[in-house]
Amino acid sequence: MSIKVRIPTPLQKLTNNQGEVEVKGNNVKEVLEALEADFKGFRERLYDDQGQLRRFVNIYVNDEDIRFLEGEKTAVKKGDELSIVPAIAGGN
Amino acid sequence: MLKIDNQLLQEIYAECRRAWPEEACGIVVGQVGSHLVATQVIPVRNLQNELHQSDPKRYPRDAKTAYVIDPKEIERIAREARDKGEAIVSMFHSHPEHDVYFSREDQDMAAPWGEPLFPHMSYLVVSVTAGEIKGASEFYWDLESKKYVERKIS
Repeated sequence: MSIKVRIPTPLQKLTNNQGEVEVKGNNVKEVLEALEADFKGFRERLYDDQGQLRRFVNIYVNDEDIRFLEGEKTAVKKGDELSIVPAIAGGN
Repeated sequence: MLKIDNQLLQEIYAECRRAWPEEACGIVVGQVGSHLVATQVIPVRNLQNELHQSDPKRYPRDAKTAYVIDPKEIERIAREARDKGEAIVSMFHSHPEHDVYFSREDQDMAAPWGEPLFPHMSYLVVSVTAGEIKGASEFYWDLESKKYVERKIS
């Protein structure tokens, strides 16, 4: 199943400056694995050493944050759009 | 560097006082030319408490020491600014009971993969102690040193 993935500007150097790519997968985890297989470098930027999505990485399926769906198990189907959105955050 | 007049600065300070003892956060919209010129201050909601409550392991801090802005809010504000021929020129947040500095956390979040998410945009940090404004600085990305550098505002 081919899914459109929106890539944030700082990571577009991994995708030959493409803002959108298509990869295969049936859920969020598979899509992110396929992204790493097709364009090296995503795994270390998206995941920490424990294999958890980094705190500042938000993933949206269409317009929904996967934290409020089923996380990385969230199913995707043809026509869905997955977005990688860095958090706008900070602290003292 | 950002040009911002006193009236807009006072709007930012008012929001920082209102949110104290929690961190305030918001967006500064303006014109992009040879300088960034602020035209509008838009306070936004700090989502940190909600994230902390729903997943304290992943988000150990609450809103007293951290802020998170909903990316959808940012998209909406960026779109509305674009329609007026403007852009997001800065983001502000406060440090309740802490000084003005661009913390490790601030730097990590502004440039999570070693490069700034928004190279042309600056960050305003406001210190609020006992509910009163203690100081403010702008931090902007310096292309040569590849770091955020400070410019004191007050």
